[in-house]
Amino acid sequence: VITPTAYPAVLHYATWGHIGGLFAVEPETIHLNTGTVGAMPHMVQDEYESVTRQWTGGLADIYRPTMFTDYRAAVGRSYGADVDEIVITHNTTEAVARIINGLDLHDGDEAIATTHECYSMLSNLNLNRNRFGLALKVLTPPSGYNVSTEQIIAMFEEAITPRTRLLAFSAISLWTGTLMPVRELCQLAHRHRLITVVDGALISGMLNTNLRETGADFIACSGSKYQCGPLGSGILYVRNKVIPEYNPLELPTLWPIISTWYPMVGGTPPRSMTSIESYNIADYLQSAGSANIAKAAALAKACALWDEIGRDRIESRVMELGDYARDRVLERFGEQAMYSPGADTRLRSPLIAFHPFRNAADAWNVKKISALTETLATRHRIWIRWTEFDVPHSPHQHYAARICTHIYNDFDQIDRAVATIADVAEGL
Amino acid sequence: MNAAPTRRLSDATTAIRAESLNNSASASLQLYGPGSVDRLDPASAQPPHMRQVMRLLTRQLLSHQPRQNPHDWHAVAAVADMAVDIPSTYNAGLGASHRSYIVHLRPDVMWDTDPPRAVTAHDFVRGMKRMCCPWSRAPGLTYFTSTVRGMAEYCDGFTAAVPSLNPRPQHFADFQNTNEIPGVFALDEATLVIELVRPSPDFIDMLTMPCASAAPVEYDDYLPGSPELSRNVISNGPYRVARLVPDKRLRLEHNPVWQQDTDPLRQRRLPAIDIEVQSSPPRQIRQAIAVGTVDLPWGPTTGGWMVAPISEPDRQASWALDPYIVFNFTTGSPALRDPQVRRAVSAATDRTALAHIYRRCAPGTDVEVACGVVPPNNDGHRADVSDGPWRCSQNAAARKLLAETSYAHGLRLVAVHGPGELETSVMASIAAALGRAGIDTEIRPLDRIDADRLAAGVPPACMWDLAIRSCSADWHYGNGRVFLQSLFETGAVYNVGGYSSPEVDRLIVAALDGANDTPRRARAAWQQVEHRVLQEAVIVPLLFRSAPLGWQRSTRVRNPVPMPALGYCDDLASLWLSDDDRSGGGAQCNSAR
Repeated sequence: VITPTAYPAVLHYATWGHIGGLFAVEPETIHLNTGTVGAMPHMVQDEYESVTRQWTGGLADIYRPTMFTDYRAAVGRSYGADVDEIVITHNTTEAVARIINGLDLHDGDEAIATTHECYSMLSNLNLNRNRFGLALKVLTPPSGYNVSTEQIIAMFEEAITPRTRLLAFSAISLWTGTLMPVRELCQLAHRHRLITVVDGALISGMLNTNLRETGADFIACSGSKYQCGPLGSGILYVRNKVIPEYNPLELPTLWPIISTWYPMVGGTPPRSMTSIESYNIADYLQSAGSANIAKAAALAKACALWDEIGRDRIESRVMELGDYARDRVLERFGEQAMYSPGADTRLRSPLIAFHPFRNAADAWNVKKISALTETLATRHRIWIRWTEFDVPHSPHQHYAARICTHIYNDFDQIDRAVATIADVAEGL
Repeated sequence: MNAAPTRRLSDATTAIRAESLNNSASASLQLYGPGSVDRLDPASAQPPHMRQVMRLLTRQLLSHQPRQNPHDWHAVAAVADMAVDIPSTYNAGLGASHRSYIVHLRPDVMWDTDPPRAVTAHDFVRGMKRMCCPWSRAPGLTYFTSTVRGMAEYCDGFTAAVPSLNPRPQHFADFQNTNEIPGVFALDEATLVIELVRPSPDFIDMLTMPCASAAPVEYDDYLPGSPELSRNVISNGPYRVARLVPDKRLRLEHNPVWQQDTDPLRQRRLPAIDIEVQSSPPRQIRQAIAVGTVDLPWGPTTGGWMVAPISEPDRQASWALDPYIVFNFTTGSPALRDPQVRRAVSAATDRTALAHIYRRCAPGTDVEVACGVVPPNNDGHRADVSDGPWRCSQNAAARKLLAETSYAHGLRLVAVHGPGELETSVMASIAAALGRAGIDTEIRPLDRIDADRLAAGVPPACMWDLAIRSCSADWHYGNGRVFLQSLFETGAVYNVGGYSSPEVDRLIVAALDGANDTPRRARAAWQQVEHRVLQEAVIVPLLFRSAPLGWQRSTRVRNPVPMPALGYCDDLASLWLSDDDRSGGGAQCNSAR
């Protein structure tokens, strides 16, 4: 059961300075790496510890609570989904693996993904290729300030063939920070009757998203990045009813490959053809032996806190900070330095990847970029990360500095960070 | 660029040092046999037994660890040598596209120069460039040119830039120092980037080959692969060359700048190693080992001629294609360009008789009639090959095939082979079988040096039409390409006969591209190559030979570790000698102890 929050909805009107104080971030630290891991709010840590204490040494039946029904219902409400559509997972990788390997794909079926996916997506697709003969088409998306939504949609559309069954992509590229046109890509998939698997690791807690309205079949989210839940937590959305305005296609077959709920004799009921579910598929995915109840409780607590602050408000703030950071990077390093899109505002996210050095050839110098992030962390307590990715028509792997803004950041921090990055890069 | 070259100790100094140690020769490991000792340039093609020595003188980015049990998967898995770690996505050494490798080098690995100098990423760049030298091409070159971005073009440019007649060291150095391989560059002294044209899961295995060793700037002063370079080879391994008498003997002594704590894969447990080149028959070498005047045989592993008899053939380690007939497509008889003639040679050959010869002359390994090109326990091997050669001689079929050619009334071919007892018997059997099918064969034994060169992929200088060779795997896991690309791709070093077919080349490229496909389809792509070359009878596979795992050793040899990467020869860095037994009772030391 979710305990009532000690923080009333007054947080919806709290200042960002006040809200920043809720998080476990050292005052002298500038945390601009939420794309890797978010800072946990103190109350989420408290929840984790108290539920751990509650269950430690307990001799009660631990299996029933590990279905996490109440927590899933609460998390689902935050994301516009029902309990039968939400699974609390260990992380995005686990969710992606369960989906990719649970789909009914066969030799000769084709999947389309990009080189800008997280390795967890690509490795699971490759596993499926080796195991079942899935054909894999991996595209390299364009990057840079002037990339447009239309370019990205066209790239995917041109790759679709009659054999294509699956479109897999990240809602936000962790490498370049491109906010992909999720709804448009899902609509493209609907036109070609494709299954969609979306790596939504970075959207949960950042965007005020109704997962169902994206039209995706599956969205794997992180609980510990922008949602700021405990490490090792994730949210999986599984479409479990046919709501034509979002996704008119029939539900894809999914084998719940890790499950203690799946029957030992017989199978699952037929999947729904309507807007009312035929069974709770999420229960089949959720039930997998004993589980960490404290983690689910803490994740639910983080989601409740977000609801109290207001997800629309959070999205506006995060994007405002992101736009501010983008402008500062543009001023300091120039448009040619940008790997993240900017001209097309639809593709903007608060993750900004850029080339911080004067020499263009340093874009493929991993030593310099790692020295930059190391120096920023150890000497200036500024946490960013470097990312590596392919760029169309370039033979090199490119490396970028990536900063991510979240609600515990402010404009001063961004100014300081960008100036320091420029100074350190110049000195390397 | 590196600092200015520094000279090593003079030849005279090293010779004097060697002489002073000769008095304690009995403390050194003694190797004796018909193998050559002349090719110490890591970028040169070398026969497998020379890898034992190269392992003591050179470090690679990645290499293999000695394991007592050669069937342990660790024995064939690449591990970090001079690299800090195997590049992977988990240490940011390999990107999602699997086309960009970042290798970080261990510090404090030194060249044996005066003063000692650190081995740097620039030395590995130079090593990669030297592989492309048109004068002395590296055995693994074809793997690298088809994999590393811009390396094929670099090779072409190198060939065009260096005079084919009487080139001087300066010609090679000038090209190397003014041209870059676009996909190979040093970020700094300790970081190397290698970019590929396609994802190649076996690239880390390629980096274990001796030809991928670092090369010091001093090598610019010598012709690649030359005796001068061999005499002045600069070590970064546990031993160094104390004395080299070409075609006679090689003495290795401690490299004073090598440090155990910088080398996770090698030890140094012998005061010195003496190799004496002698064309003695195997039984004489066996006798010398038995009485303890020699510790280990030295020479080609072909046929396992120096291996003790076995009761059970090894069924786990990768087998070799040994022997096979290679045709001279470039300077040989025009008849060989007719596939029907080659098919006739294949049909006439009595593989069962050859298997008997192998079992008699080389009892330490087992053989099977070769049903294809790829031997058992290698990727793509087919146990059931419908397009493979016949087991026994098919004289009628051979005559019929020959009758369909313009050589129906007779054909005379020159066949060359190594000087050993086994090779002589094998070629005699082949010639007899061909004779029964109407093909007259003139047999010409090669001298030991030419035979060693042939084993290393260098065609004999004399006139020849047929030769017998063997081929073993350059690496032992995920090795779909090693037999088919290295034997049949146009210009490949082990393509000794100079075979060239755009169709086969196209199939090879498709198979290389298929490395990114499912394992089943990747294997099928290589099998298509095999099917095609068998159909064309490009070579005549004769036998598959099991790994030689029971070498003859003197009783004072301790801790022998046969390594798959050394053709199952012993790792000389692991050996030591017992003081208490110098005489008598040569032993078969089985690998699993």
